[in-house]
Amino acid sequence: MNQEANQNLESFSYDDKIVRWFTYATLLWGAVAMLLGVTIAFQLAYWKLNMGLEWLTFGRLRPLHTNAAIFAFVGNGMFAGVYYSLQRLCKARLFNDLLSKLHFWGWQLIIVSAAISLPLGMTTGKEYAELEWPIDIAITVVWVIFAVNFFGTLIRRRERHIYVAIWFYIATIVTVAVLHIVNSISIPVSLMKSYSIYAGAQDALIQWWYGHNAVAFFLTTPILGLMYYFVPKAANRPVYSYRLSIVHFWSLVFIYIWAGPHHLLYTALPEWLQTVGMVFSVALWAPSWGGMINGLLTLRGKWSEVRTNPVLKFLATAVTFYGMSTFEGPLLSVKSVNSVAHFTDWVIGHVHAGTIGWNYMLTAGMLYYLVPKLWKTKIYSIALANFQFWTATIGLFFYIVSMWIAGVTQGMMWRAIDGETGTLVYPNFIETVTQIIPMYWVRAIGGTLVLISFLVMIYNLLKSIAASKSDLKEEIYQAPALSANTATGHRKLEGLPMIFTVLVLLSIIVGTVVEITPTFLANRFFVKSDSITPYTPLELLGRDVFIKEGCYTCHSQMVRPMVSEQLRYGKPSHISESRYDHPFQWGSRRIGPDLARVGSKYPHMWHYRHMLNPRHMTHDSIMPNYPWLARKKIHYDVLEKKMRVMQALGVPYSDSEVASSVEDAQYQANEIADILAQSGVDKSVADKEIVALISYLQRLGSEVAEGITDQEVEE
Amino acid sequence: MKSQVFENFDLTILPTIGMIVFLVVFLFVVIWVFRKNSKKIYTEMSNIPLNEGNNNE
Ligand code: HEC
Repeated sequence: MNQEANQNLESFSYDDKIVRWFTYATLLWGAVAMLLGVTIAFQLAYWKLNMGLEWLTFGRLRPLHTNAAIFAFVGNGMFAGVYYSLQRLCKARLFNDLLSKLHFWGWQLIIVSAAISLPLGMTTGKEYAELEWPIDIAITVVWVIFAVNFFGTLIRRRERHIYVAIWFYIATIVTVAVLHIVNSISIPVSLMKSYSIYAGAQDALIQWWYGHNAVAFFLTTPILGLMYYFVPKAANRPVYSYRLSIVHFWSLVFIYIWAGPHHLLYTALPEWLQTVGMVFSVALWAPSWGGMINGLLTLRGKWSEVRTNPVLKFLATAVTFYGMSTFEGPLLSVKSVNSVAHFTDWVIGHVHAGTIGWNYMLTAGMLYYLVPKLWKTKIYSIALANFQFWTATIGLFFYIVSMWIAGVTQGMMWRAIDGETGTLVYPNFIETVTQIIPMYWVRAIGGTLVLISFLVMIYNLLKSIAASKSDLKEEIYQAPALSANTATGHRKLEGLPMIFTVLVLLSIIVGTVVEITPTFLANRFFVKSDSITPYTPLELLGRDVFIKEGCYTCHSQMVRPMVSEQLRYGKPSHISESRYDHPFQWGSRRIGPDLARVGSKYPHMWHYRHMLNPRHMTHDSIMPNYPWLARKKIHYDVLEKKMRVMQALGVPYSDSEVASSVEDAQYQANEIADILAQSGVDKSVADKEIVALISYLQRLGSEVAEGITDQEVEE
Repeated sequence: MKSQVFENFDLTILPTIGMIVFLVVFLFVVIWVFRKNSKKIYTEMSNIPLNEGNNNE
């Protein structure tokens, strides 16, 4: 085969059992993730589907949907594909069967604990990183197991060169570890509650450095690795240009990290940093398209097969969607486009072009390739696979188009200003919501089609597996050993992945440093005279209710410096206003209005009635009812601990404030309850969560950082 | 309006350095992949997925 052909051949086998397990898990969690997605899509179209049950409300299910889609569906699919291809690219069995099993069961356990804890409201309130600290630790452990198993296999390889797919896997393993650990650092308050050590703008930067790169290094690089393996495999010819794949790799790894700030355009971030984020987001377009072209050109001359072979059909479509969404992404980060699109459904449509168009399609192609190999069988029905393909494509089309229309419509309505009077054309936020409800229905139907297509694939694959007559005995392969017995050979085998890993680490660190350093210096530059006081104990508890209910999935707290926003909400948000916010709650989507300035806008009673049933106050509201907030008692027992943790994080609470926190909170709660009682609410409301929440909402935006001038900046 | 504390603090040196580092790396990679004799290696590399080891059975 290669130059060592005349050396002794070594016999070995591949661990395909673990790949089969991950395949089953992919099918299971894919169905769950899509079912959840369809559920929350219908909830937005028809609010009653929140069912009046706390663990089924939109705010709690949306994080579960995103986590399930990313980490459970794509995660398991990626592990299946990585383990399958890694062994073959290395001509070596996985390092350790026990580690593989621990990896598998550990990951499933993490998913199950997410599926239980998120609906119960146990969340950090940071998007895509909602899982609480014990689960975060479990993720780290399982990731390390994966890494050991991976690098162990790599070191034992019988192939001198490391194929480019493996590079992408290495980048994934290294970067995801860094992102996850840095973003998840927090101080625990109790078993399932912790506060991020970062606050405000710093937290925002780190969270979106994580968030964007979760997309990059969990949903993109490993999948590109799979593309570089499975497309040549399925087409039975080498990748179009290996050179291009190397350039693709390094540019991508280098640039992706920088693009985080584009999630925060027009927020309270420094201008130059936003510009950097924008430039790099645009620059990302080039390497991405290099990769797409490389994938598609590998199929050149095979287009007749693409039409008939489901594997090639799904793979080619996936690569095309990769190209489309990596074109749309940079477009969305252009400031003028972003000013319309940010906080709207356009972004949601963009994300799904990626997750459904790229991740789902590529996973489907990979599974149609893998299942016949793994179970020594044939695809049960090509016709069903075609049916699945068209159902998914049409569903995705509905999804993207409806969200694009909804996003642009709502974005334009938010900013529409009457030229003569200088006032908002649609001052009532709800008008901009009812306008796009029809699009929510179209999206929900599109999503349903995608779900159906996935169920069809499950049926098709299970039927294929059932038809397998083979006993699935592991086959024995042979390949020449690499001259690992000599000292130099051995060092080289271990050395290459090591050097490589270090290089990848270096390139992501450059971007990280550029992006995050300023925020660590930020505290030094806060204004001395700014009047921001920390939350009162009761407000702090109310804030935790806000986080628990996932209000941030529908409400931002970030007024952008634009005339229309100023007219609608008030003064633009200032960086120092959220300096005590562990974690920040700027949000990413405005299904409801921004809340940064909602304090004192309404009387307590308005909020009370609105929380019980928003339709009492706003007739067409789609916000869920929160009746249990008026039933559930405030947890005063952990308050002192919470205050202490906040104190440790640098929030200026005095020791006596901590000591008297419960008393102070109860005093404030009674004040609010007295006012509510004047409108006929029973006084027993005083110890209920709704009072804490109202105290928090009334506090928002009450302290606007005033007139900052050069002289006041602390040196 | 957007009176940012940051604006008093000029850190543009950071992204500038980053940009230069990237350009250097990028050019290096491009030149590297077109180095002499690389074609043979790359052909060999790109064929790795297509051969899985000799099946013995
Ligand atoms: C499904 C999305 C959704 C969720 C989840 C949600 N809201 Fe809303 N919210 C809305 C919409 C839409 C409106 C605008 C219509 C209205 O006034 O009810 C709104 C309005 C509001 C308003 C009035 C703002 C204003 O300026 O008029 C407040 C306050 C509010 N929500 C608080 C909350 C809190 C607190 C939570 C979490 C317990 C929450 N919302 C969860 C969608 C949501």
